[in-house]
Parts: sequence; structure tokens; C-alpha cells
Amino acid sequence: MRKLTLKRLLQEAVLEEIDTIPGPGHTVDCLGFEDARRLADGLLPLSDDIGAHLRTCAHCAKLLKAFRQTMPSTTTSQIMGHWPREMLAKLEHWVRETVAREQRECATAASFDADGALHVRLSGLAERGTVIVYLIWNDQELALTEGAVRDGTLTIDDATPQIRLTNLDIPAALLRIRPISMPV
Amino acid sequence: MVIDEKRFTELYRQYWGYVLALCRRAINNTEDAEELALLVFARKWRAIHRYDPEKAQFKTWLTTNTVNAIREYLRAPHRVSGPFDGDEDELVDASTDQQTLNNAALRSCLAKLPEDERLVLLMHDLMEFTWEEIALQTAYTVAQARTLRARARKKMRACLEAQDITVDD
Repeated sequence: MRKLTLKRLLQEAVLEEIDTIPGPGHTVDCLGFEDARRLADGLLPLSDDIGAHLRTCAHCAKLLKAFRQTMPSTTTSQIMGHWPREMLAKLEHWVRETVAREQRECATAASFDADGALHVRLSGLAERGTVIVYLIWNDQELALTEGAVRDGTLTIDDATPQIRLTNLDIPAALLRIRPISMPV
Repeated sequence: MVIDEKRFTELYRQYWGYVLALCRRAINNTEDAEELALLVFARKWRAIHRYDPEKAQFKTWLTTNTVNAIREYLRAPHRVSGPFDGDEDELVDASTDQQTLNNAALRSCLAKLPEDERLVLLMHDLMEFTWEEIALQTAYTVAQARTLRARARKKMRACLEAQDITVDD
């Protein structure tokens, strides 16, 4: 009779489990690892096709989230700084339109002053430690800058990120905070 | 040899079940286990240029990072610890074969262990880390890790015996 040890039982149980786990859901239509990384890092523009795919593919949405959570901190403050001027102008126009349209409903939570310095006024936050501040545009998260949350209040690491935006108010509804390294 | 994206995607498909199973067994949340497994592969792709196949097998490289991700997850202050939300109380048919019954019982008992004991037991008995490697990967000394595993084994034996499964040492 075969000797049953805890180690063997453990290995057999996990092997059996591995056999029952379906594939990762990655199909030929899905984002490749490199495209997902570049998209997360803001180095690949979000096309209509990719946006449409992300809305219907849970696998790619989760993969993109994983890449955003693993974004190197040195990249984040430069992401939008690498954007072409036209793209920034488009973003700026959209933020101003949103503010004008929803002025009565949403409070300003951040603003770029005349010198391009970013001021964020967020408190009562549940997150802790190092975070990335995202601007939500077309349902996508664009990394604005890094900061740290202490006692519920966010402090920005670099008040003048390499983003060429000035005199721009950003409503709270367009901002999102995520811890840098941990799954949420 | 450089691992290109095509080869990495093949390895991803090959080891997806392995990484996900490790994450599922180590943490008490099946939903988070999937995100954690994806996080491991995203990190590996970002660091692929640092991987040297002559120094470590891909599976070993992946396993080390999986353990790191699990430890970070378990240490996260915002995490809510709760009862296992997966299959600890799996219903098994009376006609199910003995091995399937054993496996279900084992998963159930494993889920009931404290996280630190569970992780050390998995690292030693499943991932086959040496005591020195466990000490290097965790905050424990070799003696502490040995103690955690001994406690885990004692509890596992008692839990399994309560389900009429006797295991040898």
C-alpha cells in the first residue's frame, strides 16, 4: 500500500487543482504583454479598437490593471510629460469642458497653477502609503503624479510634475488614487 | 537566450495554473488570487531582461516572485482577513474516489491554518524551498520557520484525522 504523507497529499492536491484551472483567457485578440505594459505606462495611445476590446474582455482589463500596479515609480511622473502637445491640449480642453459643464456638481480637488505646479486638496482618504494620482479620461486612468497618504491626507511628492498644463482646475470626480505596489 | 514576448506568452499559458493554484492555497480570497497571479506575470514581463536562464529555471524564478507577491498581499494593511471564500467546505459526492476526497479535505484543512504557518508549509513541502531559502525569502530565521512548519503539520494531521485520513510522517 502506498505511504500517504502530508507532503505527497499536498502535492497531489495542488496538481489536481492545476489540472482543473482553465487557461488564462488570453486569446489571439487580446493585448500582448508589451502592448499592455506600454498602455499602462502611457506610452501607447488608447485607440478606439483597444478601448472597445477592454470594455468587453475581462482578461485584458485585469492584465492592464496588473501592469498599472507594477508601474515603476520613475516612470509615473514622466508619463504625461512625454505626451505630444496636441494630446495634452485635447486633454486640457476636455477637462475645462467637464469643469464648465459640471461646475455646480463637482468640487475642485486639484489644480495646476500659472507655473504648472500641481496642488491637490484631498483628505479623508482610506489609502495608506505611496500612491499614484490618476486623472480619469474616457474611462481610462492617466497617471498624473505620485504622492503619499498620511493620516488620510495626500501629499504630492513632486509639486511640479513634467506635465505642461497651467491654470487648470480638476474636479474630484476626475481623480482617482491607487496604492502603488499592492493589489486592491 | 532572450525570452521574447511570444515565448513569454507560451510560458504564461504553461504556468498560469501553477501560479494561480499557489496563490489560491496561500491566501484566503479566490478573487484576489487571480489578480495576484496576473500581478506576478506583469512583474515578470517588466523584469524579463533581467532573467538569465543559465542561472535559474523559469519556474523557479516565477515561484520566488509568487512568494514575494503573496507575502506582500498578506502584509497589506488594508486587507480584510476572513474565512476562506473558496472551496474549504466543498461538497463531494459519496461516490467520489479517495484521492479526490483526500484533496478536498487537505484544501479545507490548509485554509484553516494561520497564514504564516500555511505559507511556510507551502514553501517547504510544495514549492520545495530549502530552510535557508525560506529564511531568505521571509522575515523568519531558520529555527522560526521550522517551528511554524512543525505547528502547521501538527494541525494538519489533527484536521485530516478528524476526517478519517491518516498521514505518515
